[in-house]
Parts: sequence; C-alpha cells; structure tokens
Amino acid sequence: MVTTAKPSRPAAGGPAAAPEGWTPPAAGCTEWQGPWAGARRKKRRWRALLWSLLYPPRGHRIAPTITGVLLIAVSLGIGTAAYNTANNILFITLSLLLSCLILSGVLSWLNLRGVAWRLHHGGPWRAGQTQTVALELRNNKGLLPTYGLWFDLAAEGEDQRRHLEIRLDPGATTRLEWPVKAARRGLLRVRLRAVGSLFPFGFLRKSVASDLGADVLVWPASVEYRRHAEGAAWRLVRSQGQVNRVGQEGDLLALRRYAPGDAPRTVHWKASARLRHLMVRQFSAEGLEGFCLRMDTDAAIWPRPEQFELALSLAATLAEDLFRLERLQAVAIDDDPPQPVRRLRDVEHFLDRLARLETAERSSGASRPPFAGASTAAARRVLHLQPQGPRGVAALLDGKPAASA
Amino acid sequence: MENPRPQLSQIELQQLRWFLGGLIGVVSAWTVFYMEVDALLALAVITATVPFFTLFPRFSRALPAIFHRLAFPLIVTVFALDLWGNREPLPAMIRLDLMLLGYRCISPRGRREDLQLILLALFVVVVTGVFTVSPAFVVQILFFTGAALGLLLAVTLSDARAGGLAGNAVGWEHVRWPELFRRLRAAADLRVVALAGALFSGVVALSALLFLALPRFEITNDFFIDRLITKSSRTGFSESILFGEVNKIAQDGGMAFAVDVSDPAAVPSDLYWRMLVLDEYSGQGFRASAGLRNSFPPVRDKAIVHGGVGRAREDRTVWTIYYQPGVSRYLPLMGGYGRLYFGEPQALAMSPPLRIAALPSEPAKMVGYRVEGMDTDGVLRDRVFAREHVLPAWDSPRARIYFGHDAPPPEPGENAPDQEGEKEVGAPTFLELNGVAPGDLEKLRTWVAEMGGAGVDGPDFARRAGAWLQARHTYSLDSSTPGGEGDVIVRWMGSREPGHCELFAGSMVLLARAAGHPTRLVTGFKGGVWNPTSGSITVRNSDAHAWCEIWDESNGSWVRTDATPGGQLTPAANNDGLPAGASRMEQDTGWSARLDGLRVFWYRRIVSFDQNSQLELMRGTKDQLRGMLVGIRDLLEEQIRRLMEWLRQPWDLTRIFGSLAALGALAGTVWFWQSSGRGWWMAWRSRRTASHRHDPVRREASRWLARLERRVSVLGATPGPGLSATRESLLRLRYGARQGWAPPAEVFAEAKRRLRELGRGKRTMPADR
Repeated sequence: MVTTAKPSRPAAGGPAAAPEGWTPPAAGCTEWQGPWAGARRKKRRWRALLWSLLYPPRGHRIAPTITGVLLIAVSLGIGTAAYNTANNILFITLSLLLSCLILSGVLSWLNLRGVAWRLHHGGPWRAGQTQTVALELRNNKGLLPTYGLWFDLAAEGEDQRRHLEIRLDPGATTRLEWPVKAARRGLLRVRLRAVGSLFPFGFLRKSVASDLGADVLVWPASVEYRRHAEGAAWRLVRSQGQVNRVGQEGDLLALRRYAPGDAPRTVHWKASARLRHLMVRQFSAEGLEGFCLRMDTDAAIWPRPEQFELALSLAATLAEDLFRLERLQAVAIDDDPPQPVRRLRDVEHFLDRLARLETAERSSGASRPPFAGASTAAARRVLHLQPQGPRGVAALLDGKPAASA
Repeated sequence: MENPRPQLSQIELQQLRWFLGGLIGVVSAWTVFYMEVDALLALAVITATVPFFTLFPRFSRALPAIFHRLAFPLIVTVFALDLWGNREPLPAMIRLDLMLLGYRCISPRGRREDLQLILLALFVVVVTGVFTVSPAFVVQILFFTGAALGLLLAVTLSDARAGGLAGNAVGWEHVRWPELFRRLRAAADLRVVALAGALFSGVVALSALLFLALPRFEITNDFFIDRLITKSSRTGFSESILFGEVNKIAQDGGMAFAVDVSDPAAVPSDLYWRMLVLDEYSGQGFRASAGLRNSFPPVRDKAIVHGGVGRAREDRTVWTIYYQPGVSRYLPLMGGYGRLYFGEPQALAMSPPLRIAALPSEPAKMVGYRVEGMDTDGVLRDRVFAREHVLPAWDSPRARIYFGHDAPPPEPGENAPDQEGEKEVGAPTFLELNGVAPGDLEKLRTWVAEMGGAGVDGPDFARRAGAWLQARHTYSLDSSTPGGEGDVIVRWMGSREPGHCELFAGSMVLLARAAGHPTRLVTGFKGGVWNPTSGSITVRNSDAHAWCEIWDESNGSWVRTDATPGGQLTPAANNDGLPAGASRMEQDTGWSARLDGLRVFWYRRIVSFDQNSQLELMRGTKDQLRGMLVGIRDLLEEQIRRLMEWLRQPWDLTRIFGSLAALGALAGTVWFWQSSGRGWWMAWRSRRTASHRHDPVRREASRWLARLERRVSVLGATPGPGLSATRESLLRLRYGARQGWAPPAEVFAEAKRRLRELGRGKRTMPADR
C-alpha cells in the first residue's frame, strides 16, 4: 500500500533546531538516508559535484538498459557513417543522440537528488508471522517531482522490489510497504539493498547501493498447545477467567510474611508495625496466583534442535498467554534468578531473550534446583519445560504436565 | 493531505503513448514526401489509416489475430518483390520501413514495439535528411527528438506505474481525448513544463556544441547510401533537348542553386551559368554529338579537381555553389576555372575544351562545390578546336598565338588536355546543318546575305544576326511556330512570331553555320537575384536559358552570343565581363527570399561545415578571446596611466580637499551600507519574498549559524550562555515566524561580535550582556 502526504511544517514562532521536515528517528525506524539528501553544504560543492559526475560515488552504478544499448549502437552506427561520409546531417544526428544520452543522465541525477528515505520496521516480530516493513520516502527538492524509483529490500535472504508508482511532488512524503515473513527466531537483518530508477527515458539503469538496514529481533513462533487438566493449573483459570489482579481477589484469608515479589499494595501496615516485619494480606485467590515459567537450555535436555525450538515457542506462547491472563509472576532461564513480570516490557524482555537463546553444555551437578532462591509463592508454581517424547514438549507443573505442544 | 495536482493513471499514460506513437509515425513518414522514391502509395495508406487508428484505438484491438500473424510475412514478401522488380535497394528499403512503420502504428504496442517504432521513424527521418539536405531536416529531427523523448518518458512512467511490469493496462483503448488532454494539463506543473522546455533547449544547444566540437576526419568514402538510389534527369538539361524543353524548366520558380561569392564586387553584370554544350542539330532540337560526348574523360574520385583552363588565375574570388537536386548532372559554371573543390571525394567527368563538368548521375541531394579562378567574361579559348579543325597548320603563325605565348603552360597536376583526349573529340559538328533541307539552307544563306553577314568574323556576325532576329521577333514564353513544310526553325525565322530563348539560340546557330562560323548551343541559367538576407545569389529554375557560342577565329576562342531580346549579343559589344558588383543586381526580398536565405545559411554553416571550418572557428574564437583580453589589458593600462598622470599633477589645497572628500564619501557609503543599508535592503527583499527557502534574512541567518558552528567545533570551545542566546536568535530568524524575530541587523551584528570573540581564542563565552 502506498500513502502520500504533504509534510508538516514546524510550528511557526518556535525554535526549530532541525531542518525543516526532518524528524529524529523514532523507535522501530532508521535514520534518514539518501544520495544527497542529508549532506551538508560543503565548500567547493560544485567541484565535488562535477567530480562525482565523472567518478560516481561508491555504490552508484549506471548501466545501460536494452534501450540504452540500442541507442549506443545506433549512435555508433551513425557515427561510423558520419565519419565515413563526412556528412553533416549524420553528425547532427549523432550530436543529438549523444545529447539525449547526456540529458538522460542529468535528469536521472536530478530525479534522485534530494530524495531521502528511512525504514520503519516496527514490531514485534514473530517467527512465521508476516510483518510489514515500510519505507518512508521524502522529496526534499524545491521544484522537481520524483518519478519511477524502485527499492530493493533484502530480508530472509531474498530481495523484494517495490516501485514508486506515483509522482512524488516536492516536499511530499510517501510510504512503500513490504510484507516480510520471518522464518525463524533470532536476529533478522532487514536491509534496503539498493535504490534505482530507469527515469527518464529508460536508457540507463541508475542504482544507488544502500546500507540502510536494521537488525530486528524475531521472537519464537506461536504454537498451538494443549492444556492438561491433570496439572490443575488451568482449572481456576478457566473458571475465573475474569480475575483482574493476581492474588487480590476472593476473601481475605489471613496475613502472612512478606515475600519478594509481593505487591506493595498488599502490605498490611498496621500488622507490620505491630510485628516489626512486613506482613501482607493473603486472599483466597492467592492459591491461584500466577505461575513462574522456567526455560532450561541444557543441551543434555534438548538433544534435538527442533524440539528445543518447539520448547522456546511453547515458552513464548505460554508467557504471553499467562501474562494476558495476569497469571505470569516470574520468568527464568536456566539458573538465572527469576525475573518478576509486572508489565508488558518484562514479557517482551523475556521473549527477546528467548529469541536469542541457544542450547548450552552444562557441567553435571552445577544445576541448582529451580527457583531455589525464589519466594515460596513463586517456587510453588513453576512451569518447567521438558521434552515429551521424541518431538513434543511439555510444561510441567509439580512434575505433572500442565501444557504440551 | 490531498495532493493538489492529479496523477495520470496507467491507462492515461498508455493512451498518451499511443497518441505520441501515432504522431511520430505520421510525421516521420511524411518526411519521405520530399524524397523521390515513389512511396506515395505507402504514404497515402499511412495518412489514411494511422490517424484513424490513433484516434480510435479500439479498432486496433478489434483487428483479427490473423492480420497480425500475416502482416510481417506479407510486408517482407512485398519488399522482396519490390527489390526484385525495381532493382533499387534504398527506395525499396524506405518503402519497407514505411510499411513496418504503418503496421507498428496501428497495432497494439508494448515497450518493445514502441522502441521499434522509434527506430523505424529515426531511420526514415535520417535517410530523408541525408538525401534532401534540406533545412527542414532540423525541424524534423527536433520534432522527432522531442516526441520520441516524450514517448520514452511515457513508457518509463507507465512501466513504473505498473510496478515495473511491461504490459498494457486493461481498457486503455476506450479513450476520450479531450478528457485526457484536460487531465494532462491539470497534472502538469507549469514550472516543470518550463524547465523541461529549457532542458530541451539545452539539449539543442549541447548538440550544436557537439556538432562544432566533434573532431572531423574522414576515414573513407566507400559507403554512402545515395549510391543505393538511381535517379534520372527530370528536366531538359540533358544531352538531347527538343525545342521548348528549356522553356518548360523556366516555368518552375524553385531554386536551382545558390551562390556564395567571397567578393560581391566581383559579380559581373550578366551572369551566364553554362551547363551543357550541344552541337548536333536534329531538326527538332539539339543534342550532343558522339564526338562531344567522348570529350568527357572520367576522372577518379577527387575532392579537388584542377580545371587548368581558367584564365583568371590571379583572381582570388571564390564562388561556392550549392546545387539543388533534381536539376541536372551537369554543374553550372560560368566558364573555365582553376580549381574545383568538393567537400568529399567526388567522381567527376569534365571536358576541358568545353569547360563542362558533370557528375556521374543526377545528384539526389544538394551538392556543394567551390570554384576558384572562374572566368566570367564569356570568352572561352579552345586550343584543341583551333588546332584540329580551324587552323590549317599547327605551325602557322596564328596557331602560335593559341598554343604559344598567349596560353600559359598547364600547371603540374592540372588536367591539361592530352594528345589522346584531343583525338577523341572526333568529327566536328559545329558547322554541320544535317537536319536542314536544301531549300531551307538556301533561305538561310539569303538571310545571311540580307543581314550583311558574309565575310565578317564570328562576333561581328553574331551582332548582325542577333539584331536581325530581334528586329523580326519579340520574346515570349508562349510562342508558336507557323505550320508548313521545312525546318521548324527556318519557318519561325521566316515569320514574325514571337519566340523563346531556344528559338532565338537555334536560329543563331543555323544562321551562323550557314555563314560558315562554327557555332554551338549552350543551355544553362542566365542571371540570378541578390538575396540580401543571406548575402548570396539565388538562381531559380525560371532563369533557365539557352544561348550560343560562336567561334572567334581572330583570337581562337568561343564567344558567347545571346540573340534573345534582352540578352547580350556579344560580351565585347556590351563591355561584358567587367565586374559590376552584386549591389547592381536585382534584389530579392520577401518571405521566399528569407526562406532561401535560411537555406543558404544552412548550406553554408551546417552542411558545408568541415575540418577547415572547425579550424577557422577555433582560430576565430581564439582571436576573439585574445582580442578581448588585449582590450581589457589596454583598458587597464590606460586607466592606470591616467591615474598616474593625475597623481603626478601638482597638489594644491583644492585637490587635496577634493580627494579627501571623495575618499570620505566612499568610506561613508561603505560604512552606511555595512551598518544599515544592507540590513534595509535585506529586510525589504525579505518582505517581498514569499518563499521560506529563498528569504534573504533566513539565508543569512543560516550562513551565520554555519559559521558559528564551524568556529565552535574548530576551537572546541564551550558555548556560554551568550553564544547560546545568539544561536537561539539566529535559529529563530532561520526557522521561526516573522513576528517573533529580533531585528535581523542586530542579531547579525551580535553574531559577528561573537565570532570575533571566538576568533580571539576565548574558549568560554562571557555571560550575556
């Protein structure tokens, strides 16, 4: 899809440190780039410009198209005939053909001049899902529109080309979008490989190499999984799916000592003052408090890479689902201390780590019991991912499968 | 925000492509009209069909598939038959090109087919230009270039609109032209259109520069397409003419040739351009006898031909003749010549005794040649004729006049008549009256006696005969001869009917031969008009003329005699041959003359442009530059000299105070400009400038910002609050609304002060005052 909009001007009267129309890069978006767009005015710029016309900058390529080859061949033929016959009609024709070739180069240069672009890669990215990468285009020229550019985007080892199908007026912006489907988790390099054009007459294929790109982190793919009743993990989830805050629903049962991870709002200050240590309220729903999710990367556990990938996908899916249900308390990877999950960023951080995770050899006996240092509340309900059969993966709760994929 | 100017859709671009393709096809095909290749049928078909299909493209889509399948084989078959039947490759190729062009114009086109159409059209335009060498070629090629570039641009945009996929948009053939052109106009930005026009003008200028600058050297002349076409003479300037044929040529007002003369003062009062000499009387006209035809020994291709028979060796006048196609293969010359220059090696048959030069065939394009040392006096010495046919003995005293001291020896390399050539002249026919019956011959002798022509020399006889004829006949293009028995010329002479030049000239030949004077008929052109636009002589077909040359035994030469009323009976009688100057010629004015002038300019500056012209141009440019530099240097030296003189004069109080006042006024003006004037000027321009980008105050602020930033970064200084405040003010001037500006002059002065402080090495700026 392509959208076009005129640029917004800075507010009148206020200081504007940045040049007109130039906005700083936002999250999920690269810096502006362009052949001459962001270049500051330099001394001897005309000399540099002429030099660049003679010796194009690195990455700038000009190759004749079939039409161009034809034009050159016709020019050679007419030139040969002109020199053979000393006929000035042929010399005139030759001069015109050569001039057209030069005009083509000048117009092509003018067309690209002042055009800037930046990539919006957005997020989040998840393996197996299609994500849109957008290229924001801006024509910074004062008079001339820009036509007929194409952009080659490289992602997942393949190039996709998008054409600027409209006229980009001076000062206007537009967006070109690419659907990109990440095949696997991990780092994905999205790169604008080249910008090119056949404008104006199709004689020359001008292309400008671009190093504009971004590394986007692709989270593990979502998987379908099965919830098991034996683990009793989902029982109340199903019946009390409307719980708003973990452990704060139901009747007040008692007071208990504070444990790391307890919400400050549950602190009972009077009792704490009386007993001189922190006491928190214990509600009837506390038994249904969230889960702790632990992912073990021991290569001994995951001898099969595809099973490990499945485990990561299940872990990511469970983390998202449990967080959505407000039942994810903490997450941990290997022997790292559990990280409490209080907001979306915590889940995203966990998914980021899952995206980069690889199996690791662990020395025997070095493993500590899961959530050894965690609170009793967290330690009680740990979902621990283990292989199930040759292909499957199960999330075990107290040794019983709570979910499997 | 919605874009104010609409964008053309792919369908509209496709329709534009279709229109431009049809336009290119029709216009380029019509360039062939001026070429004589018998392509009128193809032209008529293209003219009828292409505009129709261009305006109604849906009919193009309706053509059956079988038509497209059979079109190419059919066209190739027609071409093969054409080639086989006519044996002329180039006309057949042009007709083939036209057929392909027509087919491409009416069949649906993609990118590839559009390119084919452009190539086919280019071929036609260039070949026509090469053949006709017409100034119209410039218009044609410029139109073609503009339209072809427009078409290619539309193709590129159309492909980009389709996402880089070549192909036609569905439904493009349902076009409403007024709506399309309205959309085109709405989508066009006038400023961009003006810029495109300027760029196209730049292309034309660049082409002109390239044309002048392209190095000129000739590789060979083995290939040239005009050899692929054969032409036959259309006019009466051939080796055999009937009475009235030259008269027919005179009905045409088109240009026959134009003449550039290096010295207009050297133009004689009467111009007689000889082309053909005919000796054999046939009863119905004159023709070149076998002996005369054999006097043309062929020469090899040469760019420079030495005539070797021109007497005017000391004459430096250069005559450049631009000879139009379609006149004759014989070149117009006024007499003998020293040298004949062609732009390219040229096969030329020339007869030194006759002073006639002929191309191998009638040229299909303009031929330009330069003549040096050309005789213009109407007297042609003929040593061969004098020796072989008139003089009784080679070693007679009179013969020594012709072959000895009077005639300069031939220069080395000149085509002097050799012995073999002399023998080939064959039997003379300059005295024969084979076609005249005895009764008519008797009448001729009677008239000769009547005019007192017996026993006089040739020129004298010519004067008597001319007067006799002019007394009995008046001149008229619409002439008739009385019926009856006997020779037609004799019948006309016996009548009082008016006649045209051929009748007068033919009568003179018969009378002179009856009186025993060798005489021959000459055809060519008489006169010409001076074109003040181009500064050249224009000779038209209407100037076609016939006259005679009679043998003058007293000095062994052929003397021009023109018996037609208004003509000069003999050069000597009217003091002919003396330079009269172009200013005395009839002036040609009006649009036709201007067009002719344009054509001559085209021939002179473009078509005849060669390596010598290039060198002359370079020398001229160099001389002009040098002259300009010398002029500047002289001016400076003169000013310095005056200043020094002024300084050396005694200094009194008046001078001292006057000088001090002038210096003070100058300093005050500078100070005023720097302190206030420049600021006012800038503020005034700023108020009148609507553009944010071109506002002089904003641009000045931008410059100060850049200077400050550069200085700070070079010194590594820490900007203090004062500098920050100045920067803030400059930013406000640069980007802020006008209402929030501090006085620009004060801000710039403050920025200047800050810059100076930075320059003194103050690393930390003082607090704002």
